[in-house]
Amino acid sequence: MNFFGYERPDGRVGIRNKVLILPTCACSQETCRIVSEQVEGTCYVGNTAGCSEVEENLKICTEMYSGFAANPNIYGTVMIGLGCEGCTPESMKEAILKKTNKPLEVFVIQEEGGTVNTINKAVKAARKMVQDASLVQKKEFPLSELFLGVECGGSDATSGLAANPVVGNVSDRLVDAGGSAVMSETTEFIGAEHILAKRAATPEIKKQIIGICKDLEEHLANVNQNLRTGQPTPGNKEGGISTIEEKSLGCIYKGGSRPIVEVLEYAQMPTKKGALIMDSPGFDVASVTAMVAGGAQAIIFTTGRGTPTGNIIAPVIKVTGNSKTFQRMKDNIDFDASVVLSGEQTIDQCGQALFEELVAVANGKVTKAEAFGFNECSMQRICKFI
Amino acid sequence: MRIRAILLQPVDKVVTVVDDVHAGDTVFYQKEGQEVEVEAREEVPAFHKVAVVDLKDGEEVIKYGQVIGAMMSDAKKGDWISHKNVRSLPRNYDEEC
Repeated sequence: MNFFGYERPDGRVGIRNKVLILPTCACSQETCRIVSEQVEGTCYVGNTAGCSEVEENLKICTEMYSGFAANPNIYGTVMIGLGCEGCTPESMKEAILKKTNKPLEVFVIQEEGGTVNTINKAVKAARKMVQDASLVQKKEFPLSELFLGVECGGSDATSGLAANPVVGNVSDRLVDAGGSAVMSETTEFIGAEHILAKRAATPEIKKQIIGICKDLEEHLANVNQNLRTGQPTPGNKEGGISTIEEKSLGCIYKGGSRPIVEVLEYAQMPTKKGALIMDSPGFDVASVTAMVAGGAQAIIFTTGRGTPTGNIIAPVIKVTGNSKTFQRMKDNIDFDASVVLSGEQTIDQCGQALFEELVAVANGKVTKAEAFGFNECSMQRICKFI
Repeated sequence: MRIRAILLQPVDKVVTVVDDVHAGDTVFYQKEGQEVEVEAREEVPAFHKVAVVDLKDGEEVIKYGQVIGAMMSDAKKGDWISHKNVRSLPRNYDEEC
């Protein structure tokens, strides 16, 4: 099986073909929004940070926003900075150029002399880039060019019994075809990390998997917090998940069963292909965002309670194992995996159907979150603003 | 009423019911090819857990063949097992490495 995608000059393949209007910091995000609203074919992502941050937070911001620009669904990027921010336009540009050689234009509000001048120039650059992007013709590529992110949010007890095992089956199918699948959400490894660690391709990767869980708990203990006060969430508990262990044991199914070949930092691009782990929070939006920054072209997102969130760069396919949720939230959910719980289909049969849906979305089928134009974006941070 | 439930591993001490359960309902599930029944002692919402053995305060609760926490009070076979009577346990990461 193949799919039709957009070849990029850096060798990667996109499944969407958008121009990104990228803010380096909070002070330029509104200018980016206005530019994007004026040019059809562009998208923008919000940025509520990028300045007055400790070094580690600036590093995360640079990794994440440069990753958005490098994501293969993006044809090229118009970056807008303010001029005095911690995440400097120069450092962001440098980070982008390290990851990709795709088209990039940079405008700095203080240098251009204010918002109107910046918008004037940026709109012209964006229009030109959209026109250039429209000339890229789709070509046929093998599935080994696909990089999938798997996510869960608003879980209930059906997530671990149906939706996540089905997504794990899809993850295995893609890895077997030579592609990549990344599972994130370190919080939701806790209590199941010993099982996940058994999938490690090397003893070093095993240590890393256990290590990111230990680090998260210690990080929170250092500020006198315990993740068990917020995980499981009230909705998880109402949906039949009692403890973080129970949540995690259900969550890790979505990563499938293939050897884990790399453990990535938050928003980091992988260097290997296959089954991957990314260190991210259990907060789904901040986790999806990081996997997209890491280069995932599509996300499969399971939910039991039902959630609407999407991503402006990568299509998000919503899957539920709860038939009532599917009926109640048809506007938001793309795929019904409750047939596994009712016994109508096996996990493998349902996995095959979801895999075909993934390929359809790669070929251009618009997901429900995509049709709404949902643009949730959230970034992990290590500590307070300064 | 008879309500179907799912036992994930033979060692599990709880099953997941696939529909709402009322007190007195019969919950049935498959265990190693045999159908097993347990009478529900209270109302249990769909996809929540029902104990299939008596559980003591402090005892480990097993689902997926794994420990999902420890009981905070005694429970009888047929009781609803939820966040109200199970608590999470601390991990020992150094031992796992």
